[in-house]
Amino acid sequence: MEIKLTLLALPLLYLLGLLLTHALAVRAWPKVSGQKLVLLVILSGNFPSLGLGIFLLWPLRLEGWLPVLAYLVVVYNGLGYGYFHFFNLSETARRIRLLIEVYQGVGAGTEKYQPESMVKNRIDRLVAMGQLEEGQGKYRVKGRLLLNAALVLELYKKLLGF
Amino acid sequence: MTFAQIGFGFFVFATFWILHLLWWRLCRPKGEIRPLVLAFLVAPGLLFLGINRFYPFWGTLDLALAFFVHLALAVVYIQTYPAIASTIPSFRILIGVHASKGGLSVPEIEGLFAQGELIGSRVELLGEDGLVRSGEKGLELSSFGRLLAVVFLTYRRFLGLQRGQG
Repeated sequence: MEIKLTLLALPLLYLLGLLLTHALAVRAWPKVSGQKLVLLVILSGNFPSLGLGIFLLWPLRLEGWLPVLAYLVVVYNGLGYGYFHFFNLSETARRIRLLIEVYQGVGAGTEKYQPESMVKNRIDRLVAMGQLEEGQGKYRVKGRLLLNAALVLELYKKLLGF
Repeated sequence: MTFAQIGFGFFVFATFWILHLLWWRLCRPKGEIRPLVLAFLVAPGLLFLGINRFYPFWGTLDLALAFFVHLALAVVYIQTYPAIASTIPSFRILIGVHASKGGLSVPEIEGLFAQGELIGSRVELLGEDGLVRSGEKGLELSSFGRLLAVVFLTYRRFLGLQRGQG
């Protein structure tokens, strides 16, 4: 009973830990790309999260550790991935920006949001993340991580009938 | 806890993913947030509650652990879905640059997007999800839209960041 309650409580601790660590990391490294930083925080959090799980469960004399560790890895990384996208939404989502602009009474929500600045913002972010590089006024693909993700999503769209 | 709970969480997620695939192929719903919440959170939640009430092959805590595994996978999928359903401008840029020979200039990259595509479609989706409506002075937020705006503003302030650039 106690073991299962601990396993149910751990994900909540993980989320809280991610939020606090991320807030500290943003203040410590303000110039690092937002997406890079949050990914680093999440990935490097795997070890302390597993450590915390083992620390809390050790006194409970658990018999089968393997499924418990698998559970912790799946749940932590699932939540971490969710947290990454939550941050990404706050950073890059056009809909969230529109909602906030309407909330703050900035025009009707679309007046200040020019397509040109939106494209430039994204090019700058892709360069900062090492996915694009600029030379002689032209942008070329540098890293393949996001490009491969984009190509996989294009395939999945076809599966869903888009 | 055994691998059975983890496996059952994966199984439930896979089942609802297939149902979602069929639903979308047969009749894609309008909006994004509500149908996904229904397909991956509400319906599976009811399933787990139903199992716990009428066919409790495990105890409540074991079922809750399996539900957490499903929940972790569902959150991953729901967060990825907007990238699938709509144009992700960064991805469009990468694919466009990748397909070009010798790279693209900024005006050429801007040319990858149709006029109004970047903003109009977003406003429509906000309306379909019931987050904004047209009022006398332009767009107005629904109560849920206002809540979302406050949540994201508060979150950015907590992190010590300015509002996102979109």
